[in-house]
Amino acid sequence: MNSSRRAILQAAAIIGFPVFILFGYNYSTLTLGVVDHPIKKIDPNAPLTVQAPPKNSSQHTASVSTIEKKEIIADLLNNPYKTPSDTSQKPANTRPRMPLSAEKDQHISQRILLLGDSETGGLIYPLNDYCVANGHKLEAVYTWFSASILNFGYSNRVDELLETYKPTFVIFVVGLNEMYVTDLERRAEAAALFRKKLGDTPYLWVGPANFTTDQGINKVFEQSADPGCFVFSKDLDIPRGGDHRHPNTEGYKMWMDYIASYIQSNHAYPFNFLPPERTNFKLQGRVILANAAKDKGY
Amino acid sequence: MNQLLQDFHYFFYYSLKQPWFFTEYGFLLALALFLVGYAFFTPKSQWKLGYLIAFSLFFYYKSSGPFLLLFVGVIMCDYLLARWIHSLEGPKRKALLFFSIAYGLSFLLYFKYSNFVITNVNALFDTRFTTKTLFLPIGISFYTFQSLSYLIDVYRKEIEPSKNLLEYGFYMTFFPHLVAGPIVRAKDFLPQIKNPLIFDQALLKESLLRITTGLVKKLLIADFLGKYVDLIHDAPSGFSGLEHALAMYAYSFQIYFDFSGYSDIAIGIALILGYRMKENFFNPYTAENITVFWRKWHISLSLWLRDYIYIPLGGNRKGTVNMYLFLFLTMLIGGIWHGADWKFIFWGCAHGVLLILHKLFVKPREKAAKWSTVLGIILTFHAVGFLWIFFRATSFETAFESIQFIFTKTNPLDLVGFCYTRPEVISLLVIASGIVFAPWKMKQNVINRVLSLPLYLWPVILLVALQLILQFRDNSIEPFIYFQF
Repeated sequence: MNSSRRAILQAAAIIGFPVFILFGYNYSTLTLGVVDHPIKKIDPNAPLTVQAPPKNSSQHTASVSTIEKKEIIADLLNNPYKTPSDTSQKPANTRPRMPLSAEKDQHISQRILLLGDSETGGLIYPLNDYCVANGHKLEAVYTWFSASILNFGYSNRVDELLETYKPTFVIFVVGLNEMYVTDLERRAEAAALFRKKLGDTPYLWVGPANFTTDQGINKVFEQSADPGCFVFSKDLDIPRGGDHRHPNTEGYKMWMDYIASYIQSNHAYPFNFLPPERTNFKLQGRVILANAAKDKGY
Repeated sequence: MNQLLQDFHYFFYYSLKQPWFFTEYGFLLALALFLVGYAFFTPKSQWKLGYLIAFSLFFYYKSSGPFLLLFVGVIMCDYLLARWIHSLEGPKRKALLFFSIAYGLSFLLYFKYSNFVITNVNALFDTRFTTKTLFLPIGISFYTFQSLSYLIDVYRKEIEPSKNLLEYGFYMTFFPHLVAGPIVRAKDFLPQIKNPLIFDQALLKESLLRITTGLVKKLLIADFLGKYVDLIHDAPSGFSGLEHALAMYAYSFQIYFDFSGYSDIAIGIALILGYRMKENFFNPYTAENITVFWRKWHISLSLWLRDYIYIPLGGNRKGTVNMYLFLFLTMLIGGIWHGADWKFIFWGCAHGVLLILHKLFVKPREKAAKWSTVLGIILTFHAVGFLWIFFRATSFETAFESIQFIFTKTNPLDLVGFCYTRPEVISLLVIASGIVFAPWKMKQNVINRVLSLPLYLWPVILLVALQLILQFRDNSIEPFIYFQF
């Protein structure tokens, strides 16, 4: 065998060997792990379950920051509400829980439309639980990723959604993408346009759950909404997800409790919105996703 | 087992959602199997060319599906046209060249620019022509430029037209450069068919190093930085000035590691096959001025634009003012080549203006002081990075928004919070800067040390690299940025 041929075969073996091993691992039912990290497979959808390491060793592997995070979350769970100064409702967990057997005719049954930026994505399931438990219907959710008030104010999207789903109550959550904006006059104009689109439909405008101090967008939203139809979320202390901006699953649940509490107690048109005894109900309404980076709507 | 059989079945089909890239592990496995067969052909065998063309066409089919037919059609026509041009003289020869160029560009213009033209005509004249949803055949910009250079070189009598369709087909379809360059010239490549490299242990190590570093550059560094860049540019108004500034740096590194990573893999694979392709990048961010930057960045495109646009226009032979004009026009065409969008046109024009300004105000010196070289590198890097914002932004509007944020809402103190919340981005930016700006000698020393490692360690190195990539990657692999051009 000449040297060139041998070298090509060696190249084939050197490239092929690791890939062959990785494919072999991919198609095997075996799942390996290092400490508590699974060794990933080529197929990103492959199930990865690593056997839990012995208790003794797992305690040593947790980093200080992880422990600190857990303590913070535990603290939040025990005492979740640091009520903002400008709202006066009771924390949701001090209110009576609504039994599932509650008489439905004591409630006004609402058809709810949840509308807003990416934050709405995390509120879908907690809101759905509230709706099912309280005899309301979550008609639809419109999650417009990366959207701002400009998208909702200047596009026809709100008119189309109101026409299609005919909600009796709209929950609107926006502002997380506008923490740093200073063109407040333009935002105020868009907010006024948005408010006009809602017409007589009762609504709750939920301010963003600030991850940093905003430059005035919360104030713009508050001034654009009718009295008793806007709730600040800027001072909520809720746990955040990996991007340190959006709340995590627990954070969204807490936020939903806070929103529901406002609807029940402080809203201009209050209705029953008591915390559900059970969660994870089957999702009722339609979920529509859009991305303002690709479709800004106007 | 069922999953394995199903995947094997799909291996032979084109999937729009999962086109083949060099970074697909399925491709690497197919490459290894292909090499086993390839080793048994004699170096100058025509059968070897046929075998390589068959694999290249399969690779293109896995990347672009039915557009394979268009590609094969273009190759056949160019082959015949070149021979026809060669047989003519005088005005007929010139006329046929113009026809060939127009015909060659027509596909590129149709697929890449027709919607852009329609949209702008509608906006200008208030017409209502409808746009169509067009899928851009992968690599069309590269193979069009490659075939044009071949036809023009034949016309100029710089090369003889290939007398063997197999050889010309091999030059055009050679899969390492097929979809994203480097743009290879026939006069550099066709002679190698007759004299392929003797692939030995030294070349084997070099090729493995190129492939491994290419994979790491693309999948570990570029893709990871890309996630952060996407986050910022998807919702620019939600981020601080500092985050926009860091996104500018991140994208500067992302595009470099992405494209140079691709080029490294392409050059590495070509070496195993016995062919050497020219370097496409040479430490571009260490350029001390914009002229030098374009000698080091996407070298094959820069040279193509110089030889087939700038010099034919007149180059520096028709006076200083004309030279500046030709330079500007060349960069404008370069911008248009990158994409059918005003932001690319602006990007090309801005580079043209920078090149003119450099030629106008900076006189060439024999040897510059060290501080002036360092200052030049910093300024050039920032000018290039700043213009990358237009390249990456989703629109003109968001590009200006991003720039406005950088200049008006950057608070250096935010860096502390940023380091706390996104340590991985900061770490990667530091690593990327280290790789990009490290002195050439230091890089060469590291390369030499790696090349001195025994061969039996390479499967382990590659296995560790591939698994690390899997550990850090997201569920979706980003296509190579230059696939879209």
